[in-house]
Amino acid sequence: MTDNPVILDVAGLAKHFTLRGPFGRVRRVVRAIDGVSFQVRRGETLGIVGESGSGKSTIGKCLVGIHEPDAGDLLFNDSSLLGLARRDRRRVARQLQYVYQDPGASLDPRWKVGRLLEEPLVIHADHGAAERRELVRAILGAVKLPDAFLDRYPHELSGGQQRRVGLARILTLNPSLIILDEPTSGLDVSVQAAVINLFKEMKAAFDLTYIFISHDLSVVRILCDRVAVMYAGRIVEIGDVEQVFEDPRHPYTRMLLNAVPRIGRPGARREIGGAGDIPAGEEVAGAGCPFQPRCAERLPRCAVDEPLPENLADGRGVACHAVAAP
Amino acid sequence: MSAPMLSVQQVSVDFATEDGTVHVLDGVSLAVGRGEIVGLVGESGCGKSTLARTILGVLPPHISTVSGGRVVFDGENLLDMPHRRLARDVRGRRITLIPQDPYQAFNPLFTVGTQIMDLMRTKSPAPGGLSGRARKRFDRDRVIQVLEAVNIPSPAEALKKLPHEFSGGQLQRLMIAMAFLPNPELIIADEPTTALDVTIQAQILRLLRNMADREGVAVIFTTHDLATAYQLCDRVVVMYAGQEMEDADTDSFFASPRHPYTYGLLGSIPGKNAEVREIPGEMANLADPPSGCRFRTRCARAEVRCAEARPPVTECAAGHVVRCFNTANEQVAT
Repeated sequence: MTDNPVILDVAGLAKHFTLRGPFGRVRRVVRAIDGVSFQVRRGETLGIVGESGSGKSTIGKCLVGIHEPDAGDLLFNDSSLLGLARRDRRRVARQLQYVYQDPGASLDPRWKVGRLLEEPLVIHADHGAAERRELVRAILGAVKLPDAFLDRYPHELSGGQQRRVGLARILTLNPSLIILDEPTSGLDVSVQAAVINLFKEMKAAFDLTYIFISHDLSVVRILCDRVAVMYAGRIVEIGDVEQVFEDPRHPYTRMLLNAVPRIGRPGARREIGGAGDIPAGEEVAGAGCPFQPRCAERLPRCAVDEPLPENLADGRGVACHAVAAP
Repeated sequence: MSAPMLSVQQVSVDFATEDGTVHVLDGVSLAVGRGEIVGLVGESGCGKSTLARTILGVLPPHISTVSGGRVVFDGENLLDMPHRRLARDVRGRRITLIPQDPYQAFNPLFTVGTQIMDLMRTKSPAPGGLSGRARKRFDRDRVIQVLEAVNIPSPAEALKKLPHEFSGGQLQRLMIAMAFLPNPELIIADEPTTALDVTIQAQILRLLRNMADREGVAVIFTTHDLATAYQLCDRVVVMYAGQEMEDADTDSFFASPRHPYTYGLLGSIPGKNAEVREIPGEMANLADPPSGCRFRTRCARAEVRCAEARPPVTECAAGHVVRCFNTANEQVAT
């Protein structure tokens, strides 16, 4: 997969939000993402993980044009996504789709499945009516639902079937990159398992590339090829899932992985969280490493000098002075 | 274990809905010993929150009926207790609740201090003879002590703040402090960590464990996450469609799970290996549950007798009960 062409190249992306008080006075600038760079190759699944507020969703929203980034560039198939005219942006949007938390919930309850599936084609593509119906039938078959469903309303379907239809709606446009934003949060484990398997099936059947945004590390581990760990708007570690989960190098990654509840072997001593007490997060100061107030391995220079991502010998990137220093 | 502090015996609860009567709880039994943390595990709609509400006596009025069973707490049946006594002596005092969503539990218009001191005045036992200012000072000292125990930085300052000035994790810790303040015997924690990040979740679980160990309080911890139950709890009770399916001490539960639904749950947890297995089908319709075993429509090992009769609750090992005909079940890959 490392030989596949780069489909998405994110370089130095930044998005700041300004909080204003009365009379438009600037109270605080929140640097939601700050200097984020990564690449996604065709056919891979990149996981983006981090705690709430780490900026992971902001990246996804910048990619599909919901937010306009303040700095940096987004190259999709070698052409920039920024500064496009509306018509060009729409053409690109076919290729690049965003899936909200529950794709089933976005179905209009008054429309039958057939019409729901046809709508994206009407908006984005110039197929004749007969051709569109053919495509809709094909896509329904691809998500393993029978043709009879074309005449049903969303409420006549089960939750899992609704989710399949929601996803099929996105797939009708034949996108190449899909951004999945927290698609499994709030689900029961058995439903979550069904959703994970659905994503895997669709990826294989449609030759897709995923960016999978999640705070659930165990799901990322089984679904993704590579993972980017975010903290306070920056990527602190990025690499192959196996590397990062088996041998995390950044102190934050280690802390995060330690906190995931796991079922141990029978007879093992049960304990919570592995790591010691986690100090409460404080406001990120201007200079230095943003994680430094919570970090157990901080060095004197961490308070003054922000570490930049550096590539280690095994190919992953880590932004940490304690790791880079031999 | 000596006589349990709380024992839920064959409790059934019905809700009247547009689709007819829904049997939300159907003969549920469980016991909680002093200082024990019991995990109540199940998916949404399995009845775990209804069970929590039944114990607290706060089922939605008019539409719900307790159609059978007893909830014995310290020798008394809470279901028979007059409402006023239940509200005054038990709920919020001897049995407290940690709700799922701390944002909704606080009134946004009053400082956290006001709300906590109200609680102290109405629910916390006052030492004999204290009143007026002395009482207030005593309460305040105790509040600050407990806030320190739950790792709220500078508690005296925190009391002057409004709820929105705290993060979700901090508010949840305040809720935990409030649950412990009346010196309860039992705390019902209703998915207190579901909405939180894993790092905060680990903090809160450790805190609950420490407080329970230190103060000897029993906890019923509802969750849909078996891994969390594994880490925190002394006993695990798995619920499905309003019935407990398996109930065992944590080590025995995870070493030799017996119920097919439990295997299903364990198999669907993402682990180190790439495969997760889904449980086929959907949650049973409680308005018209399947005959016999409520899980049989999704069970890979269902037999003819599962549809014909309700499976008995059988003790298959000491303190390990399972609601299934086939109690000799061994977990095998399906």
